[in-house]
Amino acid sequence: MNMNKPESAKSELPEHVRRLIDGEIEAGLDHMRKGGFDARLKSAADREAVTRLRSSRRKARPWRPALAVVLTVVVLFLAVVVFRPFRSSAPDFSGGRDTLIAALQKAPGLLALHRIHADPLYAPIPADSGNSPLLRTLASAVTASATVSAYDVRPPDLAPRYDLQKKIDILVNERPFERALAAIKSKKGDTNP
Amino acid sequence: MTTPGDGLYEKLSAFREDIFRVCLGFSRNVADAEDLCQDVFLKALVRRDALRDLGGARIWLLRIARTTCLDRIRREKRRPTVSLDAVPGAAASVTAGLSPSDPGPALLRIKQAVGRLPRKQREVFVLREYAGLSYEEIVRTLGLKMGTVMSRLNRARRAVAAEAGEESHEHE
Repeated sequence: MNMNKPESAKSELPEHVRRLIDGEIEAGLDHMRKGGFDARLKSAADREAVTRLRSSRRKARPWRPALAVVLTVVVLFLAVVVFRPFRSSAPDFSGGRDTLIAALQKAPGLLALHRIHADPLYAPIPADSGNSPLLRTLASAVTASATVSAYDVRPPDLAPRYDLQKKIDILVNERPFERALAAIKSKKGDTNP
Repeated sequence: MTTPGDGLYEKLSAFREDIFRVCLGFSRNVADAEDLCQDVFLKALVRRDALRDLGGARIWLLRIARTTCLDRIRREKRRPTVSLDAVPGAAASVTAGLSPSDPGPALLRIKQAVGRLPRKQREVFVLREYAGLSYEEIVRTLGLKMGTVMSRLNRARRAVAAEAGEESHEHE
């Protein structure tokens, strides 16, 4: 027992109560010594030491989280902006304006119009453009319109019953497609707007 | 400042019996006391930076033990459980031969009396009667005045003796 305990203080607790408490303490300490508690305590301390060591290593490299963020941003930029995995899966357009006109003729609707409006690559088609980004976009949009149900993006007044001439009329009236379509038609020798 | 692998645990573990006594005083049985004791040492190792002087490690550990035990008691009040020790026959059938968890009726009476003490009296009583701290050490551990410690201890002893005394005699 602790040697600091003055006898006067000990006597204040009834002797039988004191004996019971002492007996409980002795039994508990005995169990603690024999029951492998020291090993359990040491094991917990070792685990804590390992955790602390890992934590201190992390603290020693504060630039790591920042590097991870930068790398993540770069990878996302490459994936989304440069490689554009979500763009239309239409084949590359390499046939120039003739293929575009052919594609427009096959288009079941005017989905292309809406896609062009939404596409940031839009620019008026130069007269001498053969394989510009806009043409590729147009081709992709028109090709996609053959496979994607068009009714959810097409206005009711642009139903597929309209013929190509009607579609072209609409395209021409939808500025700034006017210049683009005019350029295409002038190349084809089609003077009918 | 201490670092992992600096042997702090070995230095602190010299006080494990003192800490165990405190935990035993606050808990219901040996198993709970061992759990609390482990929690105390883990907390101490996690907060090792707060230990400025190894000479004051014992008082520092005792403070952590007191806080840990009182936290556990507070938690158990919110989510009350029934100890097997409190169920006649159950403790003997479940824990027979495993540990001295069954305190016996007389000791159980004392433990219940200690458990019913107000918190302020209870912590002084446990530090004195279980951990065997001197009055001076209790003053340093709890940050109280000597007179406060003595009066609380006196009231706690009377309460425990009054509640446990006669019953304990019957079982002796």
